Amino acid sequence: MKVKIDFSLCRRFGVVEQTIFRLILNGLTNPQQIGAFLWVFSDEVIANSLRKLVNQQIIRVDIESRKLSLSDAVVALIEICMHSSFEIDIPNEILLVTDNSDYSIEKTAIEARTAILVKLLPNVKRSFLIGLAKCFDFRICKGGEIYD
Amino acid sequence: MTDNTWTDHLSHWRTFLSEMLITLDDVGEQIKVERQLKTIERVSYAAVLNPKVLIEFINPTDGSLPQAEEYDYFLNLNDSQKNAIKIALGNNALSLIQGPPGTGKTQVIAEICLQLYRKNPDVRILVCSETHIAVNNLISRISEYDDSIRIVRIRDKEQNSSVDKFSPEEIISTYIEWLQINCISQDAIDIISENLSDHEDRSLEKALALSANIAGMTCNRINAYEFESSSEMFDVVIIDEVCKATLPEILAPLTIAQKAILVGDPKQLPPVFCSEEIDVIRSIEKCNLQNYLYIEDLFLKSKNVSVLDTQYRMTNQIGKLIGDLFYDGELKNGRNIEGENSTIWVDYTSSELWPRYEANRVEKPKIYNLDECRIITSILKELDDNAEILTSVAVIAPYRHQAATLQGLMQKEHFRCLNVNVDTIDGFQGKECDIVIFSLTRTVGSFRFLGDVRRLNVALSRARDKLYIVGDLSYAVNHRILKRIADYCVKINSDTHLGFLSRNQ
Repeated sequence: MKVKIDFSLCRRFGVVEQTIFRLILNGLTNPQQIGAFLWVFSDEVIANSLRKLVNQQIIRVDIESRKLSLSDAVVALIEICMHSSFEIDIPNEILLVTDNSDYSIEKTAIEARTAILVKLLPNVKRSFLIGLAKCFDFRICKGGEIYD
Repeated sequence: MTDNTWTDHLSHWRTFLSEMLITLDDVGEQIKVERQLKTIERVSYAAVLNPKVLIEFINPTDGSLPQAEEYDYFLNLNDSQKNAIKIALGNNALSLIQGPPGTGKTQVIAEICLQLYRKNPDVRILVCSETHIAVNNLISRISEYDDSIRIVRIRDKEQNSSVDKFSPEEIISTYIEWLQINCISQDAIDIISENLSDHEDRSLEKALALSANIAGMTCNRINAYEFESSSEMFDVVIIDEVCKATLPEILAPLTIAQKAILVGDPKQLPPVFCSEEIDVIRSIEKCNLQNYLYIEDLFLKSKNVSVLDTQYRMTNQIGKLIGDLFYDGELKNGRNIEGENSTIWVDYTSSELWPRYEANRVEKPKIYNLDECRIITSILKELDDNAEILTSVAVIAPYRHQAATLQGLMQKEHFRCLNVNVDTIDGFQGKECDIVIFSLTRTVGSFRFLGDVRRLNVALSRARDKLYIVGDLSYAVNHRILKRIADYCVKINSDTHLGFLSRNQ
């Protein structure tokens, strides 16, 4: 079956990290602007959230330009998810359970998520991908109709 | 306290909670107990954000001297309140404030918060208690003084209108309104609104609590969040009504505190176990949870204890009674209103013995007294007839069934000027009223529950202006403290012969 794969930041990241990630994904790169938009949270809470995202190599900080951006791995992941589809065999048992909708890979074994990342980013070191796998949930979407 | 006593006590709590977990059907209660067990585990491995607070809690060291610094106080305070604030703001990791009834604990807590905020506008203070009402009182008082302080009240179950504006829902809704007016990027507005739309999202509550200068929540609520590193620690944690909290409830905030201030009164009511909990305690070998209160020990042993010594709630007559009976005469009166005839014992001859003897009854007897119910109703009618202004009245009884019976009667009455609140003594701790009518209820049997010195302290110290004690004197004089109360009523009212009012049935 032909599928596409989508991903999102996993639930162990709180609302502040999720919001910052989505703002950066949407092109907001100035940390001060992000802080100004999110004034309902203290500078310390925002700084902690940024630190968590940077430490997990989800975003990176360009010290010189003082800009935030998605890490190379995340950019590569977005690229591959947008432009590629994959041929996989999904057992009938799973198809019945998922009722022909998306199949979510959340809270599953890290091995499953790492395996997906290895498939998506074959040229990246496995040890790095294991770290990244802890940060994302995946969705397998049939045929590509959902993400188009 | 020796290491063994602490370890044994903690171990008894662990066993008790584990046993309770098996007996509980309610999912919410199960989650609460599971979280408390997790806290106990953390504490037993000292896996807390600042072990100094925990060490000071377990093994109080010699106290540090109060800060020499002179503070410019925001509020009007007496010397004992100022001293308590100096000790609390000192360099000790843990300090305790004993606040007898009406001595201005909330005022002291508010001043501590204001001082901390003035010193550091980014300060993070957690104010908590075992009940929502106590947390709301604190938040409501603190917010009166400075509207620039960022306050958040997490999961208020009391629907208290004065603190509603501090709920995550209100804060986020105001914030989104601001965004819609001030943010030019519709994409950013959409992303933020969508992400923050679930107001009960725990990570949102936690982020707001950590972003606030003052976060208010119950002790048990703290266990719902994972505070992972010292960057998620509160600078100061203040626990109000600490003597009413159980050990697991006290430990939860201590695990996330850089510094802790415990406020309470070991001479008022301790936490009460329900009958199911007592059964579990009794089933555990050598379990001392019913008799031993660690926090009482701490108030005795810690050197960082300050006592608030002036009460502003009660008339001098009531205040003196409380001071003499429960505080070795050390409680001063700050309200300075003598209050003639403000403590009156209403004696009567009971028509039968209360609680009623029911020969075939298997369960524990329901303790109520219809004689006292009738007398109280007539006192209330008289008070209402004579009242010229709106007056708050509390009718309190030691026993649940007597409170329920009185509540039923009050629903049938209509008072012109009285706002009557009926409750058990335990339920009324922390509250106050213009007039209190205390129904002793029993005319026969054990004084164990009714005569508990801490329960009597709470019962007698709720009234601002007038205290009626309704009880059968021939029974009451058999109890040491009740007899002293009766004697006091005779003494102070000797001129007017109002020491005892007799009511005929």
